[in-house]
Amino acid sequence: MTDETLLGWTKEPAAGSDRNARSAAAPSVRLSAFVVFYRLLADYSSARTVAAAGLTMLVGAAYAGLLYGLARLLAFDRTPQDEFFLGQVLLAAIVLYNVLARVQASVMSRLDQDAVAAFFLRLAQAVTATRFATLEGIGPSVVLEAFLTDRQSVADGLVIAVRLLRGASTVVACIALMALLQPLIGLLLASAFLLGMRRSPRPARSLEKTSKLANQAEARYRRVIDDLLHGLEGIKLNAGRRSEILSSCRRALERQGQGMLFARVRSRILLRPIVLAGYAVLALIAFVLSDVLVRHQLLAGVLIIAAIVNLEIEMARDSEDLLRHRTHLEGLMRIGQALASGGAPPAFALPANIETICFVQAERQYRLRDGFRLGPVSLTLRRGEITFIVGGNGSGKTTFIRLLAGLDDPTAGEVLLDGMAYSAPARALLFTAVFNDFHLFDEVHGLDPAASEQFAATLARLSLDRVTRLDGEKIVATQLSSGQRRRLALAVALSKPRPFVLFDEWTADQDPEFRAYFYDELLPRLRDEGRGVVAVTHDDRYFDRCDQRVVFEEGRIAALVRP
Amino acid sequence: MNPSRVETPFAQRAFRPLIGFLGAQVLGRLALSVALGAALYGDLDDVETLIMGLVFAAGSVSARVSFDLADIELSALCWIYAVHRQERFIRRVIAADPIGFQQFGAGRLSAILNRMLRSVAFFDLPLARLLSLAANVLAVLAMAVVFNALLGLSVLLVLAAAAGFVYLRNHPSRERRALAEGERVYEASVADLVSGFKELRLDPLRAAAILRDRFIPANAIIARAGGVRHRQDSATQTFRESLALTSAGVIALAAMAFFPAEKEAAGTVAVALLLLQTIALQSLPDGRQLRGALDALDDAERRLGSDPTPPPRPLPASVEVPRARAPRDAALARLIGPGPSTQAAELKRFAPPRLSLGDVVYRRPDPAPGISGFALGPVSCVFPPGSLSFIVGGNGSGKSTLMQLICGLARPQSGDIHLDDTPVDIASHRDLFTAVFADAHLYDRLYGLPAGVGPRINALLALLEIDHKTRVEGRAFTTLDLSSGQRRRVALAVALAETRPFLLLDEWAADQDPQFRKRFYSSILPTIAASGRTIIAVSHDSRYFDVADQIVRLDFGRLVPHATDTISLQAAADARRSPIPQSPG
Repeated sequence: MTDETLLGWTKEPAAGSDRNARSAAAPSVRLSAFVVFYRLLADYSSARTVAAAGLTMLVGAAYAGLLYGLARLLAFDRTPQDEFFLGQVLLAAIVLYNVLARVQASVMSRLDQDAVAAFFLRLAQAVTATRFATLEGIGPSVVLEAFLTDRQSVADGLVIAVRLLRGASTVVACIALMALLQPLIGLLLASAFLLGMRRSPRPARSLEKTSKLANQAEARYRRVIDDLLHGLEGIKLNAGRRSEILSSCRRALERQGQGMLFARVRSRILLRPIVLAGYAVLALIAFVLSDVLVRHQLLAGVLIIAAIVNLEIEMARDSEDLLRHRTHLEGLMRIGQALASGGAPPAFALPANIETICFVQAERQYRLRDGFRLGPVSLTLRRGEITFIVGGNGSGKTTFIRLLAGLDDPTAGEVLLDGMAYSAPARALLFTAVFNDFHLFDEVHGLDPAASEQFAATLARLSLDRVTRLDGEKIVATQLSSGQRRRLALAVALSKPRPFVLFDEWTADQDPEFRAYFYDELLPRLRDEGRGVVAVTHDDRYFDRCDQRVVFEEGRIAALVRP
Repeated sequence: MNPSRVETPFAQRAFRPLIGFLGAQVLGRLALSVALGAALYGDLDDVETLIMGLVFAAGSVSARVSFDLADIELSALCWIYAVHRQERFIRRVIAADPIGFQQFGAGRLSAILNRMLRSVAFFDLPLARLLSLAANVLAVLAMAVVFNALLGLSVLLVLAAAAGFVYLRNHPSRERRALAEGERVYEASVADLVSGFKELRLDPLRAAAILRDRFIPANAIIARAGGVRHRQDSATQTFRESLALTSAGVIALAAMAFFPAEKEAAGTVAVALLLLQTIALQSLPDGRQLRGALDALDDAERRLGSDPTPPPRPLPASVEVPRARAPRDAALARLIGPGPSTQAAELKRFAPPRLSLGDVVYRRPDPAPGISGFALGPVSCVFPPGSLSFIVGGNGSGKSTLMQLICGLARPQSGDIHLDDTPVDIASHRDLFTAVFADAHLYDRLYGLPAGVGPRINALLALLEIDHKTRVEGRAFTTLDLSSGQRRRVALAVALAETRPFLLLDEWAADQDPQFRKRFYSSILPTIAASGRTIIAVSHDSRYFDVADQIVRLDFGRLVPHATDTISLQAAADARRSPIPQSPG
C-alpha cells in the first residue's frame, strides 16, 4: 500500500544516470556540486570545516611555492655554492610540505568521519521517529538504498571534494605567482581561468536529454533482469520466453552502452579547449617570449602552466565523478528532510490496564490510491475478546489495522483508549503483532529466563524446534519455508506480554493442522489470558470462533456479527 | 584487468589499437619535451625557434588526440567486456540447477551482476590513466637515454622504487576484516530499522536497543573507513608530488655535482618529468574492487552448477483420452480451449499424456553440518489426462519440491517419470507445463506468447475480475503494481493463454477473498479441467478438497497413502469410465 505523493515525494531518477553524469561537468554545476559536499561537513561543525579547508588550501598553495623554487634551481643561473644551498633548502621544504600535508589529512579525515557518522545516525534516528505513512511514501527500498549504496557515494564524493579543493588552491596560487613574475601573463591566465568557469550551459542541456534516454534504457534493463532472475522458473518452462527475454536484455544493454560512449566522446570534446589553451600559453611563453623573459621566469612559467593543465585534466574528471555523487548526496538529504518532516516520535510510557479501544466515527482518507477512504468507523475492542476482521481485497481491512495499531492517525474522528485520547505511537505500545508482511528479526530482544523457556516451548509446539534454535538472544534458523517463517514470527510476537494481539492473515500459508491450532487452541488461550485478540482472516470455516466479527466493505463496516 | 581473465579474441581486439595509440603518445610527448627543452636551455635563432615551436605543436596534438582516442576505445572495450560477461552469466543462470540457484537467490545474483557491470564499466578511467602513465614513463626514459645514459638509469631506478613502494602500500590493511564485520552488522541493523518499522513502532525499546547496540558501533566503524580513505588519498597525492619534485631536484643537483657540462640536458629531463606528471602514481589502477567483483561472478557461475535444458523431444504417442466433463463457466471455457461439444480427436490433440511418478526420490544437500537437508520421497503417483489433483500437506512437507520434480525444474536422484508408458527425462518436456508458483512472478511483457494474444488475455482478465486494475496494451501490461492476490489472477490469465496441457498452481487461492475463492474452486478449476488440461494444484483449502479427482498428501517428504480425505485414484478412474463420444473413424 504505497501512497507515493502523500508527501509530494517523487522518486529520484535511477542511479543509472551515473555513467552519464560524468560528462555533464559544466563548470557552474561543478562548483555547486563541490559546495554541497562542504555543506555536509559545515553542518556538522563549521569551525572545524573552516580549519580543515584552510589547511587544505595551504597545502595546495605550498605545492605551487615548491614548483617555483624548483624553477629557480633549474635555471642554473647562480654560483655553484648558491645552487647547492638552494637545492638543500628545496629538499627541506619538501619534507616540511609532507608534514603539513599529513596534518591536513589527519584533521580532514577526523572531520569527515565524525560528520558522516553523525549524518547517518541522524538519518537512522529519523527513520525510527517518522510516521509509517512517510516511510511508505518515500519507499522502504529507497531508504535502504540510501543507507547502503548512497552512503558509499557520499564517502567517495567527500574524498573527491577535498582533492578538488587542494587542486584548485594550487591553480590559484600558480596564477598568483605568475602574476607576480609577469603581471601580463598572470592577468591572461586569470581571465582564461574565469572564462573557463563560465562556459555556455548549452552542452549540459543536451546532455541532460541523452542522460534521460540512458535512464530509460537502464530502467528497462533492470526490469528485464528482474524478470529473468525472479521469473526463472517460468523462463525454464517456456523456450520462446527465454529467447525473447534474452534478446530484450541485449537490446537494453546496447542502448545503455551507446549512451555511455556518446557521453564519453562528448566529455572529451568538452575537455579539449582547456588543454589546447594551456598548451598554447605554454608555447607562447617558451617560443615567443623567450627573448623577453629571463630563464628562471621562463622555467617557472612553463612548470606552472604545465601544472595547471595537468591539474585541470584531473579536476575535470574528478568534477564529473563528483556530479554523480552529488545526485546521491542530495537524494539522501531530501530523504532525511522528508523523514524528519513526518516526525511522530515513539512513545515509551503508557498508563497500565487499558481495557478498551474505541473507534469513534474514525476516518482515514488518502489523497492518492484513487482517494480511498476508510470510515467513518465506530467500533469497540475489549480485552478478553476475539475480534475477526473480514472483507474482500481493498475493503479497508489493512487501513483499519494501521489505525488500530497506531501506525497511522485518523483524518477525522478519534480512537480512544478507555475513553481518553492518546497519540498514535502510544497506542502502538498496546500491541504485539504478526503483520501480513512481517519482518523477522534475527534476535529476540529482552527475554527474561522464564520467557525464554516459554519461547522454546512455543517453538516446539509450532514444529520449529527441528529447524531453529535460540543461541542467547540470537535466533539461528536455516532454510525456512514461508509458512515456517510466519510461525517463527508468531513465536516471537507471543513472547511479548502486551494487552492486545494482532494477526493479519496469519493462516494464509499455513496447512490445516496449524490453522486448527490457531483458531481452536491459540486464540482461546490468549482470550483466557485476558488479552484482546484482533485477527484479519479469510477462513470462513472458522468464522464462528470469535466474539465479534467485523465485515468491511468498500471502506465501511458492512456488518457486525456476534456469533 | 587481469589479462588472463580476458578471452583471446577479446584481448586481440583490445590490444592492437591500444599499442598504436601508446606509440603515438610516446612520440608526441618526446617531441614536445625535446622542443621545450631546446627553447628553454638552447640558444635558438628565429628559424630554429619556429621549427621547435612547430615540433612542440605537432607533439602536443599527437599526444592529446591519441590519448582521447585510447580513452574512448577503452570505454568501449570495458563495456563490451561487461556485456559479454553479463550474457554469459545470464546463460549460466538460466541453465543453473535449482539447488545452485536457491543457494544464492535472485536478489544476491542481481547484486553480483550489478556489481560486476559497475566495476567493469567504470574501470575504463583507471585503465586510461595507466596507459597515459606508461606513455609518460617511456617518453622520459627515451629522453634520458638520448641525453645521458647514466641519468636515464637513475630515473629508471627512482621510478621502479616508487612504483614498488606504492604497490606495497596498496595492499589491503589489517583493518579490513573488522570493516567487513562492521558492514555486515550495519546492513542488518538498517534492514531491521527500515523493513521492521511496523514491529519496532510497537516495541520502541527494541528500536532503541538496535540503534544503540548495533547501528551506532557499526556506523562508527564504517565512518572511520571513510576517514582512512582521506588519509590515503592525501598521502598518495603528497607522495606523488614530492617524488616528482625530489627526483627533478636530485637530477639537477647530481648533474651539477658530477656532469656540470650536461646541466642543461639534465634540466630538460627534469622539466619533462614535471611537465608530463610522469610519476602520476596516484593513477595506478586499484584493481581490488574489480577483482572482487569478477571473483564473485566467477564463484557464482561455478556454484550455480549446471542443469542444461535438454532439447525438446517429441511426445510418446498418447493412449488415453481425457475424461469429458461439462465446463461450469461457459465464457471461460470458450476462451481457454475446446468447448463441451468438441470432438474427442480435438480434445485429444489438446490433451496431455498420462504423467506418472514411480518411487521418485529427491534430496537437497545438507545446508549446514549437523542439519540434514530436506528429502522427498519415495513418491509414486499418477496424473491421468484431464484430471484435477490437489497436493496437500504441512509447511515444509515437500509440496513445492514435488511440483518442481513434476515439471522438470528439479531432477530426481532416483525413480522414473513416465509420460503414458514411456520413461522420459521430464526436463525435455518442460514445454508441456505452465505454472503459477507461490511468488507468482509477472513479466511486464508477454514474452514467449504468440502475437495477437492480447485480446484473449484481456478477456481472461475480465473473467478473473481484475481488468479494472491492469490490461494488456500492445505487448505489455499497463501496470503490475498489484497486491499479491491480484498478481496471482494476472499470472493465471497469462498461464491459461499459454495453452499448455499441464497447469501447475501453488497455493493460488491463498490470498483471495472468500467469494472469489469459492468461484475459483467450484467453477474456474473444473472448467479448466474440462478443457482437457491436467491440473496439479497445491492447496490448503480443505473445504474444497472434494472438487479434486485425487488428493496427494505429503507429510515430512513422504506420501501419506490412505489419508481419510483421500479419494482414491482408482475410485476416480472408475467414476471416469463413462463413455466418451468417439469421432467416426
